[in-house]
Amino acid sequence: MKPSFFINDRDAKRVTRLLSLALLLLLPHRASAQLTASANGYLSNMQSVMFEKIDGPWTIDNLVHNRLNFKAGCGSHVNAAVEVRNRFLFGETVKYFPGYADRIGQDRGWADLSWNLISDTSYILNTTIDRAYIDLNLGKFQATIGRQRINWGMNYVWNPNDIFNVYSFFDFDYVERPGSDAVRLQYYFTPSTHLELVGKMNSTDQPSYAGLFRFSLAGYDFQILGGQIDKKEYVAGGGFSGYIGPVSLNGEVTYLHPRKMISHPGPAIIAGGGLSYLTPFRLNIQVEYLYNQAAELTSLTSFTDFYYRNLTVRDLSIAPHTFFANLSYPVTPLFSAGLATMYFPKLRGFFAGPSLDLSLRDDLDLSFILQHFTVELQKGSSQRATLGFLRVKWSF
Amino acid sequence: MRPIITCMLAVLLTCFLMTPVSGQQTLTAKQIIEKADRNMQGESSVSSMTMTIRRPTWERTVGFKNWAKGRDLALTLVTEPAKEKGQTFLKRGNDMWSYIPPIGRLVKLPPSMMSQGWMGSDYTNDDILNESSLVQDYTHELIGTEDFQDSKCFKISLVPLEQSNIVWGKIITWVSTSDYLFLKSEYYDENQLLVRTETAGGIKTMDGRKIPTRLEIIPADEPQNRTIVLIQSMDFDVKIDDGFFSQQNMKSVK
Repeated sequence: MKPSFFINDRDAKRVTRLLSLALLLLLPHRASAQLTASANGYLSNMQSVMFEKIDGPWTIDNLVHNRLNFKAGCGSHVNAAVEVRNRFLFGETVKYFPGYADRIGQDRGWADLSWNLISDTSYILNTTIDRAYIDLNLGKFQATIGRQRINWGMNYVWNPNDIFNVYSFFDFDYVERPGSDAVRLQYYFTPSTHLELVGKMNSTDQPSYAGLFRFSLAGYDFQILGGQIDKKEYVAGGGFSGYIGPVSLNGEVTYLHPRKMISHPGPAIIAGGGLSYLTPFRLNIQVEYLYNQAAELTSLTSFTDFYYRNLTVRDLSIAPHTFFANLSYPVTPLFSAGLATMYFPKLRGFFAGPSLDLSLRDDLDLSFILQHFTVELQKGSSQRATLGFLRVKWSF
Repeated sequence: MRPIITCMLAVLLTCFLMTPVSGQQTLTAKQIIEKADRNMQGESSVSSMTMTIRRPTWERTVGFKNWAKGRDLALTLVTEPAKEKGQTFLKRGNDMWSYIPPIGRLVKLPPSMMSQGWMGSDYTNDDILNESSLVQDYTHELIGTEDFQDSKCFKISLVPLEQSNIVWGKIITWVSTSDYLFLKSEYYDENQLLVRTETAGGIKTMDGRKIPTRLEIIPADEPQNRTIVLIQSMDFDVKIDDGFFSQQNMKSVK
């Protein structure tokens, strides 16, 4: 049992520096303006099981997940937010998965704001601050300083343009994702055209810089971006989103070019796009495709590598070509059903994820989600895994 | 994406409510409707309202705050339920976006998204997307006067012109003779069967105007069902800069 709630010196300095910068920017706006504050969040309990064969051994886990979002504002120009994620995990993964507690307590940000308050043989209590920022709104100019989500994605499943907070489709219970420790400057030229400049630091003090220009033209949204990720590689990309008749279209492409060819796998293009169509009888149909040149080099040895891997743009997928299709349908206004599928030709495998959602009250939802994978991670040996989740979630 | 309808609904209601209050004259049926319709493109408004879907065994409520200017500009902030609180919708002409705060994402919305009613609301796609004009696209006939909820009303029949693209076979509407408010409307299909009834009540003075603050829709085939809109506050002709309706403001509006 190793309590580690105390911020170490390095982090204390970092947090102090960040807050000083924010306060300095705040000074001209002191007093006078009206103060506002709000809090919201959710509390969920999720029971999960994992097995290779249904008649074989089951790995059973439980996660109590609480999120608290605090926001405060001073007039319309200054806002601050702190968002905390608390998790109480217990079960067999905690017990038998080597290094699981470290994984839970890991913070890949510049400041380490994730603490395993208690970590014992069978349970872990973790608290993580995944948002902590000050936002200054000065007319068309906006500056956001601190831990924040910078979401540049336009696609539904895979977002090669989302270079700061890459999203895993399978991690449905944490859509907020960890924040980036960054300074983000935005300037709005028109109501639907803006420029963003972002500087971000990661846990090993490697900076990332990037700029994004987003605009609307002829009913479509477009964006172009460029920069450098983790001091390792240059990035350039673009995306679009729009529709033809009742069909939504979107696409993203990102090119990665290592700064030093020897230290890294080679340049890579990662591109994807999709269509979405809501039929008149309310069935929603979505398809998406991802090409990932970086995945040519990926070799995985186990399913856990595949499922739990830390995500960067390069490992958005594990195969060069991945196809996705999703059907969702509101059976009744309170009950909806969905089926998400993926096909990995190179791995001779697929993913199938049926889900059921039931609204119990205005603030209470019950979800049942299955994730089945059949993949050939090593040639000739097919691996199977099925995960089942039952979640009840109270939003407040 | 469910509350998308509310954004458009808010725009619709804003227009619907901007019925002029003016003196009595002898007006033709068309003039009565025109009088109402003329102000349907009112300058601007700021409003707070809730929409409740009521079914025999359950009900769900969504609340929102809406800023609207003309027909082209609208910004909607969802205020309840907790799960969707803080989501915003922006409409600029034909372009629509939604912003989802937990994931910090701006999503471009196709017009077809608007047909996705909220929790089976009795409002339909046609209410939202129908850009037809009650004045231009119908022929009007004053078929009498009738009391509705103790108010004397003009009873007017509206029949769509043949070349119009309107789904209704006929609308019968009751407009109060004193305030020119739509108090009741019956919508009929092409076979002249009643599809649904809309009623307006709870008339209050908000920002100096008399308006109905409770709107109710009852589908004819499921008379036990209701969609109820309650208006908590409404300010008219508020000065709002066009720049207010921006992607930037979607992320910070309160």
